[in-house]
Amino acid sequence: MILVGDDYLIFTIMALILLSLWVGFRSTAQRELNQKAVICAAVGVGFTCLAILFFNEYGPPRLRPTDAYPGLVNLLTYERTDLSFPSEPAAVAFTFATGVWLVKRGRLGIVMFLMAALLAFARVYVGVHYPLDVIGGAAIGIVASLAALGFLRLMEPVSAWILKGMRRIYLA
Amino acid sequence: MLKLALEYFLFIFVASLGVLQITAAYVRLGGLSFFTRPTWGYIFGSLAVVGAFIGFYIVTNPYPEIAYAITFGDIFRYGWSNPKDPGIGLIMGEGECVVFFFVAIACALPISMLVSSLVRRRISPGTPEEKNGETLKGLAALRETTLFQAISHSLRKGKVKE
Repeated sequence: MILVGDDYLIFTIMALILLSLWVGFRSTAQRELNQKAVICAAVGVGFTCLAILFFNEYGPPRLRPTDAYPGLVNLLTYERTDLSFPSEPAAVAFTFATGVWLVKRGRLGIVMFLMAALLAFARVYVGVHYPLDVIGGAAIGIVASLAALGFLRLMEPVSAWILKGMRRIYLA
Repeated sequence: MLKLALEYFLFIFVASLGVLQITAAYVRLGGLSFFTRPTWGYIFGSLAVVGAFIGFYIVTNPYPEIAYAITFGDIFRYGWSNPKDPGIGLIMGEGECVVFFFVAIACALPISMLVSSLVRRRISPGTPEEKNGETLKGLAALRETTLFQAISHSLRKGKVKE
């Protein structure tokens, strides 16, 4: 659980899944869908990071459970120096999962949601977040992905143009 | 800070190379694969991914006792020097991880194509396959050709058009 709740493992696995989605297609239609899902997730992460920056600057200065209740919380992993709300790993993981789910649906979206939920649970279990922190992070991630999808629909010609350019140099 | 950034970059870069090889073997993307037989792609890819994770978690050990998540703001403000006391260890912030991830992929994808082109030279016909009368573009063109073959084909096609 310590490994699952750390700052790298689940997040890296999810990002590697997105990479395999980008290059793993068997038809042109599947390529369009896969790459749209990855772009939606990537733009969503941009929005999530902006939202987190905003919360860190103007949000409630909520201490980590170990700082708020010293001696009462059994911390299973390393101690953090930053604020508790919202949970950034949960936000990014839910952004990835929602981005894939919104565009692609199917089993992969469900698997990614399960991974994000596992990460959120592990963050509370190891004692670095309150449940509300990860719920807040998940909400930010889901809203950011929805916003990213809307943004990409608005900017459809631009994203199509970027994809076309990437295809010219064999990157998409 | 530079050490952590390099270690994380290397971890993602090697893992990305592995995932690219596994995916290329799975969808038969010849121009991205280092090997003729998909089985070798699976083996190499799995070893690279597992090796990257082992290297990062066991050799470099990314768990300090007290951790401060570095941000790009810190990098702009302090350069690559540690922004905190030496007693406080550093970890990557999630947003920063994403950026490092994209940079690592931006390196791993072209490098895979270049290595595949150098190692395999020629896969089969030398022209990107055609579907519905239209030449396949982008990564799809690399199903049957290497990057160098695809580039030379598109250049030749351009000359014929002129």
